[in-house]
Amino acid sequence: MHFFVVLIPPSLYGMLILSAGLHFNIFNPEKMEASITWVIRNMGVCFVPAGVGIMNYFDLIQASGVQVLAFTIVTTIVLMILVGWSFQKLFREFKDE
Amino acid sequence: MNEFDFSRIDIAAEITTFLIYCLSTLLIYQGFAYLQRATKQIWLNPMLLTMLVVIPLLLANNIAFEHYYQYSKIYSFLLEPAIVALGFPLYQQVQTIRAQFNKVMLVLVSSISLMLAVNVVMAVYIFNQHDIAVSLALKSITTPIALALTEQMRGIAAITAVAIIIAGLVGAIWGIRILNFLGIKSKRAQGLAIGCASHALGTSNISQISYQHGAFSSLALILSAIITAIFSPIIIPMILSLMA
Repeated sequence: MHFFVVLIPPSLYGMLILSAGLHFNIFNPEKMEASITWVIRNMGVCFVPAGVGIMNYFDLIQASGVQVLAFTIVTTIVLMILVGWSFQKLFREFKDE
Repeated sequence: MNEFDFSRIDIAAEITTFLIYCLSTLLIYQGFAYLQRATKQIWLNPMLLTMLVVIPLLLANNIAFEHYYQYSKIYSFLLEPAIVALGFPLYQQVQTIRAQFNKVMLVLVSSISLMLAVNVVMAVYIFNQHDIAVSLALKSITTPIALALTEQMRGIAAITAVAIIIAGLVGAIWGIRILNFLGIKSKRAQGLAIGCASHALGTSNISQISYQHGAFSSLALILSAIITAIFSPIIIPMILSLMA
């Protein structure tokens, strides 16, 4: 049983270290803002090759594409409502100004 | 001497293939990204449209995905530094909403853990395939982290990538309307809900409404990715082994 061995993707540690470094004034946010904005704005292209892999799953799309689509839409809406509703109900004191 | 020449020719061919695949992917993507910026239509998602152009191109030329991916996987490697870059918006948002940070975490951790479990159980029940269940359970978070987790838990990267775009479009197109209809009208709750369920696509869309929407949504997008990265490697294999 490896339940207690939490395997976080290594790059996530990098993200937390960057965030902590900025928070504790080790890094200078003004110096990196422009390049980071560029990276985040353009990172979409990096997902294309992985997504093109869907061409190897045409049988799956034919057999259960509609179910996958419906499943994704329904569970996304449920998660959205769950988060929004619980935040609003549990913490009524946060009225928008 | 002969062998040396051969290897030189091979390297030249390899580099040409690499450049053709990478540059054409980039050009098609940039074209669609420009189109989206010009038209401001959410559903003209450049990732989705690029796939819809690249796949028929590969099929028409009888190129296997494996061949294409072998040369274009440098893009997947670039996802790692892209994740690190997300530390910057995390730093900015934690500053602005420090006072509510604990409560935000409470709502996100409980909702995400619950929905991870529900997703896996339902997906195994409907599709009867563990790899699809892993992919569909990870669809709510930002693509780079979801793909890293998919690989780790042996899901199907392509299905994760496509399901993520669908989840993003759902929140970006219908999110505000559904939440308003249900009386969830607080800006913070709406931002949190859409950032959590529809990651960057939803965030970029609702950030135009108000600053609070944007701040809560970008915080939710990054925190839910971190929470999912911590909890999914525990919850998903546990449920899969129980249902096996």
